[in-house]
Amino acid sequence: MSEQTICTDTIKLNIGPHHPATHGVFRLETELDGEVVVNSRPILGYLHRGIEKIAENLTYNQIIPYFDRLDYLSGFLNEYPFVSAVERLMGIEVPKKAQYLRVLMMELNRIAAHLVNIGAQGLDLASMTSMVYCMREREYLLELFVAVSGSRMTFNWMRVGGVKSDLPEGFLSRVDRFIHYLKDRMPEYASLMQDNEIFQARTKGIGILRPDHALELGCSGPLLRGSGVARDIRMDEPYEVYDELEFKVITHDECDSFARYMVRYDEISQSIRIIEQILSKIPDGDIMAKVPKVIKPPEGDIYSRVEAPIGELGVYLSSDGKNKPHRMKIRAPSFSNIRAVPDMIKGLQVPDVIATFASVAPTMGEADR
Amino acid sequence: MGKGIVEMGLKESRTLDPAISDGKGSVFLTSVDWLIAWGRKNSLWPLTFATACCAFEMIHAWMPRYDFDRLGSFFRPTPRQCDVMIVAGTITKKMAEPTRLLYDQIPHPKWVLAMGACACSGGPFIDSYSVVKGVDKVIPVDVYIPGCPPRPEALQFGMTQLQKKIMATKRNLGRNHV
Amino acid sequence: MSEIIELIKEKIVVEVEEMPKGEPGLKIRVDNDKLINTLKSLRGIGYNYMTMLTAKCTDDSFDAVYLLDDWTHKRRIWVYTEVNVDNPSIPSITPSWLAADYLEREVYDMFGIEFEGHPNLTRILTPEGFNQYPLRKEFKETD
Repeated sequence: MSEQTICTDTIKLNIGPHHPATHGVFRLETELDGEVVVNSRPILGYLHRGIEKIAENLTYNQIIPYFDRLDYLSGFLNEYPFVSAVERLMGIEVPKKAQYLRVLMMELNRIAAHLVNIGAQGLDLASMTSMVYCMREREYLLELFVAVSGSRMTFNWMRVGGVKSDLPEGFLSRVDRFIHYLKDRMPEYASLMQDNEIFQARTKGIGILRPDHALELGCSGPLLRGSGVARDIRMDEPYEVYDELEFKVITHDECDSFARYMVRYDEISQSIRIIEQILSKIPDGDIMAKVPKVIKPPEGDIYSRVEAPIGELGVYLSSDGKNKPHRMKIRAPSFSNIRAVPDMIKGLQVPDVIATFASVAPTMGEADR
Repeated sequence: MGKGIVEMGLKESRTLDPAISDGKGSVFLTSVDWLIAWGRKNSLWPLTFATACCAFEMIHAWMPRYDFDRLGSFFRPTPRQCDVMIVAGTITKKMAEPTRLLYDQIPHPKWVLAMGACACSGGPFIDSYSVVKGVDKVIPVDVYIPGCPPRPEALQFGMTQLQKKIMATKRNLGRNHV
Repeated sequence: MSEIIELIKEKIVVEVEEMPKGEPGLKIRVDNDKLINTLKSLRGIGYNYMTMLTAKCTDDSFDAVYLLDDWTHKRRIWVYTEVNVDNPSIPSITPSWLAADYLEREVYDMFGIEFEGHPNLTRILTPEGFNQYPLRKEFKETD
């Protein structure tokens, strides 16, 4: 061959905003050298609905439904930081029974969200069976949610000072039956996904995120725990009744997509363990504290957080003494986690980009607000 | 059949023109019309277009319990292979242009279902500065399905109403769409 | 609690206040020119996780609000700095702390506060062609 140099150039490939992976409207502009990603740039904002501006014109209880629509898979977990921020500003003590009910529904919701994320991770690797199985389980959970709050997905159930309604009759035995059913199903998912050598070949070693880099970027949730950092708000800064419950913080050290999948899979088992403890411990009592008719928190700033299935979801509330918030900011875990994506996919091929993104599993409703 | 469609409050779309039929078509052509409409309604392939929360109710509709595969429809990721576009979720101003592009890329005959309050009229985000107040400002809509989010049973009712609308279309042979 | 207050007072010469009851963090307020050194010193003391970066409107100007967490010792600190409304511009912490990358872009998008030194200060959430700042109190929707 002569010394002629062949002129090569990179091509720009646009992944999104409409693409079949079920993570919402997200656009990733990648620069490819052949099939390998050289550079990439996430573009957000396709689902920016202006929730923070809308909230400045609504009273506190009117804002709660907007929180369900942030990470639409985990409605109960989204409502919690907002009501807890208002309660702490006003010094309201939530009754013990309401705290237990909140934790019960939050853990059931965590199972529902993790089932979708596991199933979607399989679906993005072309295993349609995983999605179908996980959604089948999720239907039973949605029936439980309808029984408690009236809606399958957008619950509007928590209120400042407690919860809206008590559990219906026979609910706890239904939860118990569901837990037993799910425990029998977990080995089925294991054989379909983590014991499957195609799944392992597609996810092991793909999408490495080192722990120090993840901490520098402000990542949280399974993204951080899949890199070996044992950080879980339920253990580090316990809220509601988590200090009375026993559970383990799941970490895996491999820093790849397989580790993040295993974190979610094992967290389902931990949630089952928490729910079994709660079922025997729910006390009798009120479901709502004594709250004034018009909610007017005193002046001040506060930040309240929850361990959502994607990471740390927080609400910053700045009140000026009126019945509408002066400034409400939502600290969205997906927004910070997406910042890690360009660093994780450098040097990977295009199908691995999809596999990595599926393991990060952001929700656009939350990233864009 | 006409009365049922009026009760749903459907908007006239450019692909449907039942008024043109003067009832004087031949027996052969009306049977072929019926056959084509029957074939179309039983194999509606939707586009995987989902922005927000309604996406998950739409996904649940295709999953084991509600199983819309028995209606003959299954998702296609590319607009070139679809007939129907189910707009599930809020359409923001930034997303309006991609929505229009996707709609234009679907070959005729095509239909649109606006699923959920956000796609019908802006929904809970109607006061927002960055939300398009209803997807019918961007693309023509055939069936509106209210709800926030609508249950899969409501989506099923919307699909069957769309099927009735398709059966009511005359002059299916040839290019009668704009 | 008091040792950390003493340590902060010694490293960053500033008054440390308490937040309202219910909020466990400490609060300090600094000027724009001391902001970067303050954040770097706090990071050195142990507050090495940037949880939140936002801004809010006060009566006559903006306040940029930073929230840093120290998970090893389970404590957090708020850093407030006032931003002039006529020429809203403060130095950017992104070159030394990558967590602030998207957060500062969002504050620029919503309030119009410019961060000097940010590698890519462009709009992130609002559509292209949108030339207003939605979260300012005087924003009115035009259509």
